[in-house]
Amino acid sequence: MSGTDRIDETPDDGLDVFFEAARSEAPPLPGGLAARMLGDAYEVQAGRAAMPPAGRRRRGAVPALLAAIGGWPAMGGLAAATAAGVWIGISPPAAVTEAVADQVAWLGGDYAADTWMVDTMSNFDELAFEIAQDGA
Amino acid sequence: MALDAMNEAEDEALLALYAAGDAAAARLLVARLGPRVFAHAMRLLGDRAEAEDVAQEAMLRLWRIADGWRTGEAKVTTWLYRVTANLCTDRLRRRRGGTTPLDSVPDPADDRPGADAVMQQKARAGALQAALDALPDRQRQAVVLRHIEGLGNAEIAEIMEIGVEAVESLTARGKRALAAALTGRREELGYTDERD
Repeated sequence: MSGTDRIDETPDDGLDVFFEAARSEAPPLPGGLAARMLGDAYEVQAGRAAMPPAGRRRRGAVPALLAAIGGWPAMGGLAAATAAGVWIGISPPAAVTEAVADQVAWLGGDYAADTWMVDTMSNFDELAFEIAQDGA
Repeated sequence: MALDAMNEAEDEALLALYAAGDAAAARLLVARLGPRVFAHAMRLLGDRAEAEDVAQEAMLRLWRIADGWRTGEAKVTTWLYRVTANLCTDRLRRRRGGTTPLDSVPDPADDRPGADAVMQQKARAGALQAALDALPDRQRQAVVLRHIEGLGNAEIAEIMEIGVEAVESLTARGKRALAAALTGRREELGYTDERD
């Protein structure tokens, strides 16, 4: 008996017989409870098994995103496509402008002439011009 | 203690097997741990239906944590006793605002002393449970873990997340209250027979 168990060395308070009775009269597992516990166990186990092995590993947001889109090669392609889109937006090639004009020509009227409105960087051009003027 | 350590290692090994998908491990864990969890909940709550719910919930939490269980950090049974006790505490708080005074300890229902030793044991166990039900929650938990489950004070301290001295204090106060509640019933319950 360890020193921390000295509480048991107190004089007989007459309770031991009650504790012994309680131990011998341990409540049995109610009918059906073991089956319900086991049912839960199998359910949790099945949920775990349904996950792909990679899904069971804990990982951060970036690796999870990479896995979702197909890894680093896919991320490279995505980055290239994004850069191309930005570049076309800033400086649309003549072929793009003409193609857009052709697509909206059937609308007739002023719409066909208004395709220049897709140039969202016009303010940037004006600012760059002003800066150039100030620096001159 | 060697047997306890072996059992504990077996619990952890079974839990690892369960996490790996072994169905037989689940059956063994239910057989080994289910009765202990239910009995502990029953002793803390004194209500069979609630104890069933708590025992099932405690085991469900064990299944869910199995995958991330860190071997060697905590005993499975210690973890289960703690979860069970916390679930019981939540229910006791919902059930009543405070603790029942000792004066209101009820007589155990249908447990009348008789010549038959089995009936006598049942009557004693019933009387003890009634007295336990009247204890403050923490005293009841400490007394049950120490004197019925048979755990050491250090493990009880870990389960209750308090110091060993606090465990000793709770146990001592709990036993004094139990002795006072049961004094008048010793002869009635055949206690004197034990000393003859």
